[in-house]
Amino acid sequence: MNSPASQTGVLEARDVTVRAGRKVLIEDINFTLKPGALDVIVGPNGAGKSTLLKALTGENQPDAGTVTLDGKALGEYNSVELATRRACLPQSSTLSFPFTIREVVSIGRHPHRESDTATREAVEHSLNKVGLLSRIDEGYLHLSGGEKQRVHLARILAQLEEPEGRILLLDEPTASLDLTFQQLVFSIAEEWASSGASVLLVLHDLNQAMRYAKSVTVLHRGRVVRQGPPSEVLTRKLLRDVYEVNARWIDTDEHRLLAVDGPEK
Amino acid sequence: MTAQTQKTATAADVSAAKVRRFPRSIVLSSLAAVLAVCGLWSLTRGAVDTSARDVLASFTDEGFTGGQKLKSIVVREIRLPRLVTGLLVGAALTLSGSLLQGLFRNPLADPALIGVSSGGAMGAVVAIIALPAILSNLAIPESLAGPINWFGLPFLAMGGAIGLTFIVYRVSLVRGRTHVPAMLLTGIAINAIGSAFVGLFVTIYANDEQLRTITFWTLGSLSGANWSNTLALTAFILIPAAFALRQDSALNTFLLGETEAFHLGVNVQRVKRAVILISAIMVGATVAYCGIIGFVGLVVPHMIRTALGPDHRMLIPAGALLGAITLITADVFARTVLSPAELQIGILTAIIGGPFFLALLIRARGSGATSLGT
Amino acid sequence: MNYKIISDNGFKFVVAALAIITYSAQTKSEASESPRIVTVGGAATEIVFALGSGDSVVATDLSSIYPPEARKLPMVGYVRSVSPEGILSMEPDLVIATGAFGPPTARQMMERLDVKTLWLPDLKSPNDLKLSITKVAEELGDPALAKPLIQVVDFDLNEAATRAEVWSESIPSVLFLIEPPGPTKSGMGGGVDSSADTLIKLAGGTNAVTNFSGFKPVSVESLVAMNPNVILVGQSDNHGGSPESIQAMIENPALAGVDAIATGSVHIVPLDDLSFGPRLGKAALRWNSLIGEAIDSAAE
Repeated sequence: MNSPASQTGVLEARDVTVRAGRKVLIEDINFTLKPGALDVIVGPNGAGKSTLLKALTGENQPDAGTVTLDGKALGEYNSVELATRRACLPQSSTLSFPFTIREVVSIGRHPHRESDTATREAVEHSLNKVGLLSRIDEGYLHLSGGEKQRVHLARILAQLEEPEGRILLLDEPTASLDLTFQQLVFSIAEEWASSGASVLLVLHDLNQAMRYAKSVTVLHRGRVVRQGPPSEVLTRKLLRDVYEVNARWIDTDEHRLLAVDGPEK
Repeated sequence: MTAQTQKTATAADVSAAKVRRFPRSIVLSSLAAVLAVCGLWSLTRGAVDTSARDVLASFTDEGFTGGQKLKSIVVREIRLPRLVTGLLVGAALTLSGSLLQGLFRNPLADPALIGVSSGGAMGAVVAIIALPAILSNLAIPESLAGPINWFGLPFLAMGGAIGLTFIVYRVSLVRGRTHVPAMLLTGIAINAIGSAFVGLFVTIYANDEQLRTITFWTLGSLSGANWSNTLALTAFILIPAAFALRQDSALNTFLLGETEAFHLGVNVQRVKRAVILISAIMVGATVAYCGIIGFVGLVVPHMIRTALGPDHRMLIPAGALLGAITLITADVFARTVLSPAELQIGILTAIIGGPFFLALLIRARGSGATSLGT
Repeated sequence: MNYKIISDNGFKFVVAALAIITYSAQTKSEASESPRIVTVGGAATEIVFALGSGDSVVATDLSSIYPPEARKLPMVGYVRSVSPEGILSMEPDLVIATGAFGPPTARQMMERLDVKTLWLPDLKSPNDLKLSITKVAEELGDPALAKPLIQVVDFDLNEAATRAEVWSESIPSVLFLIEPPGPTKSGMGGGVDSSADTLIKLAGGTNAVTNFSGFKPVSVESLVAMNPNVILVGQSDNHGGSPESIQAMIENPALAGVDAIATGSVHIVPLDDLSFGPRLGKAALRWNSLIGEAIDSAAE
């Protein structure tokens, strides 16, 4: 194992370019995710969010540039070691075998070579976090979409085990899910970030980005358009330029809410 | 806040949907015990009338005459290699079925159904007909040709099975997911090509004896078991089986999808290749020595999943044991039903497995095909 | 002339039969306990029965369809896929098997087991038959038994050859079919080197097939090209050409010009004429006279 000092959890993309054939998907992306951060990537459909996320997980090798974790390129990591350092919650899952909730979460323990007792403890701990501990022995296939997503959240929490020095990547985790679950996701993301994890969310909903992000990165046509605190980044001008809508922020007592007036003329 | 969520969510259906899982150690030791009993029982069953005492005597004593001598020979030279062969073949077919189903993320991926066995049979036919002809054309001396022919059969069968598995996998994988109709249709196409290929070879080249030997591939049998074949089969199956047992946790991650498997630290390409190689080698070896025995790799994993769940850490070892039990039992019926003649075990497994497969399809259709992974 | 030949033949046969019957009656009274024999392969079974030891046979295989008594015995499977344990369960003192015995592993098994087994060749010629008869007779304890039986076979074969001599000007071409070709599927015919080829020659004809060996598919068109003088269709209880398929072939307009069909020389023969057992001579004579009929009707 590396010394704790080198395991701070800094995920960095430097001049990353990814192409599909001759088409450029993302170009010259520079992006740093630090421990304690709760960063959000936004951008219209086709802006390159998923491509960037794949480069950040190591699933796709960039055609140019590097992605490093604590200064070491992702490709140089042992795949099991990498799996204990970073986890990714997919948008949806197509798991169609009759597992129990416990078994699905146990799959998250794959990188940990450990006893059955240790697995059981880790699984129960993370299911408790997402509020499904009492339903641990129920069948996964009978759950609703939101409940399934909660199980997978528990799975990646079990995979990382603890926040410190870990990278948590959530790909549109709240898309089409109920409010309770959205609340749960953000509270866990905030809790992990404050405990030393580096958390990155890809989001569609700009209200959520405004409310939860410490830093927002806006992608447009494969490039980073702006980066910074949401209230400085998500301006009317940017929404008009990137999303091609006329919109403004309305301040209430606690929140800023986005009102869309109509397409840009 | 999380505690509250938990309470409200569980209030409605606390124990209704609870799934019972049995501990692995208890399941595996019970299955091993059943296998042992089943194996001993199979030694007492056959055309020649033998009691448990006769079976015991045939191992403990030497130098018998008359009736006991005959029984000793039958038990030691016929039934025991056959028992070992049945055990290996049953375990191998179930392991390959489980592995392929994990790889394809689909419970219908049976080695015989998707064409892996046909690939093995094509290789075997080449070995039976073409290999001797090629060797005599090249004027290879008999002393060398004999061993080449002997090794050619299992290796060509395994080669055929490996090639076909790769083809099916390539064709049925659409954007990283198994396209089930494509997988089954590829299987149909390959089985058709396989039987045409066998037919072509038979028409052009086979003599009467080869013809009969080839007919044997299409519906498998354990009747060819003797010690030299059984020992070769043991090597070809035990080594890949040991690797198969180590893929359990990685295959669980595969069921989530290949991307998720990668995120969980699995070397996706390596596991994929390993699974294809392992299952094809095992199927190829069984085809080479026992012909095509269908549906075992489909039915047995399904029974385990239904009774014990889809977790590969349970499915793989328990499946191997139950597969062995199933094939040993089926073989006892195959060799006693028409005594003193024999029924081919492939006929028996198809008679039982075919309707089972249909029932699976019908049930899957009724439940919106979720259990078929479509 | 015809009459004389048949009576001569009949006489020899009666002598042989009497010799066998007398002899087997003797052996039976001498040895109170006859050996238990399992025969595998139609020819092996027939030879044992023809040598008078049919009562000792306790089991046969599916290819043993003659004599009728043999069919009532337990079967140890088909000659090509025999179960060794099935044979052992009949507790045989002697197993007599033809070279068709299989699969190879079963044969290896039999060789390893402690059961006395007489291996005959895979019978494909008169010499194979005569050798087999001699070997079986020796094994059954009296080599002298072989001679009369061989004489009968030789006599019939000579007879067929003699009758065929008159055809030497133009030897009739004969096609043997297991299955006649129809509009929807090919038939199956006996090529050069097949057992049918051998029997056609023994009967004095020449095989219409020259371009393939063994049993291979024969299409309507290739049948037209062969244009045989005689077509013989093999038939048994559940194998060979059905009367319907033969009728369809005869009525097929595409085949109307084929010599055998034009002259009405299409005949059914028993499929086990090809077993090359002790009735080989009778089979050769049967085929010989069917070929002779064809020549007569063509001449008219």
